[in-house]
Amino acid sequence: MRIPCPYCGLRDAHEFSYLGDAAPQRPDPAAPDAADAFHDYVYLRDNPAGPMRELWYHGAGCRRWLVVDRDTRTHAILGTAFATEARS
Amino acid sequence: MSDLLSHHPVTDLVPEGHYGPDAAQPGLTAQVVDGLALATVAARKGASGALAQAVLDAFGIALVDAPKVSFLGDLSFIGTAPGRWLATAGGAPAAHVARLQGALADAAALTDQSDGSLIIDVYGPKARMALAKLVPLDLHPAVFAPGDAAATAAALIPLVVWQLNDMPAYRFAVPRSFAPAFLRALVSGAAEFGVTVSGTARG
Repeated sequence: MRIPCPYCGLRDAHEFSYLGDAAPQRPDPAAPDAADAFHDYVYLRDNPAGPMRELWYHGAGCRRWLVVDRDTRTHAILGTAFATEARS
Repeated sequence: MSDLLSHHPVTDLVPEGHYGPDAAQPGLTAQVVDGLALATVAARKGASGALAQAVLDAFGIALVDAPKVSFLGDLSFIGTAPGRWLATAGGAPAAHVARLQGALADAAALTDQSDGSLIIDVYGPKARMALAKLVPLDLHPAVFAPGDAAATAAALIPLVVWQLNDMPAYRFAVPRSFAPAFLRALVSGAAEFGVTVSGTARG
């Protein structure tokens, strides 16, 4: 599997580390339901068969976090972006 | 070729000499380059434009924010990440850093890396074929050409590589303590083409 890094270009997946779902956002710790929100944030994950937005770290290249759109059934990469831009 | 280097300590650089066939016409040469000063240049937050302008004003170099080499004379900026470059120049490290500091300190963070990496040039008619066994990049001239650069890992060793010319010649910045392992991997893979190692003395 090769991942097109927005800066480095097409690179082998071994240059990257996988984190997981890019969707969860850290909840507000001061909110009244913070305990429940953090439980969901830490533990609850979807496991879709199909396109998924994921966080990958290009540790052996530009050392940037990426959001990668990957089809979990075929490993086809549908798009990549820097996480700083894709999640802001 | 697994016994090629069996008599050399694994912690030493591969000694100077020729390995493999065709000593008269080596397929490639691996040369340790002395006297090159290195520094990382990292744009401060929101200062990418100011940094590019400062580099243009001070050095006459149009800085490219991409895995490319921007250079004039012996001063080169090698793109390693968004807003980050490895700046190389001949001469003493202190003078190199002072020169960058004088022009760029407001727009970039500068770190002397001269003692952090060993510079190794790999060149010759078979250099591309030999490196295809080591570097996880597509080095075909249609994809990777003179002026192109990459931060990557070869034999699990993180390094920066850029192409100098279409001989082809490639320049590697290898973390100094990993240089013996890098050279062993290179020589073991390249020996079938005949590889001459120079600049390492007796290893």
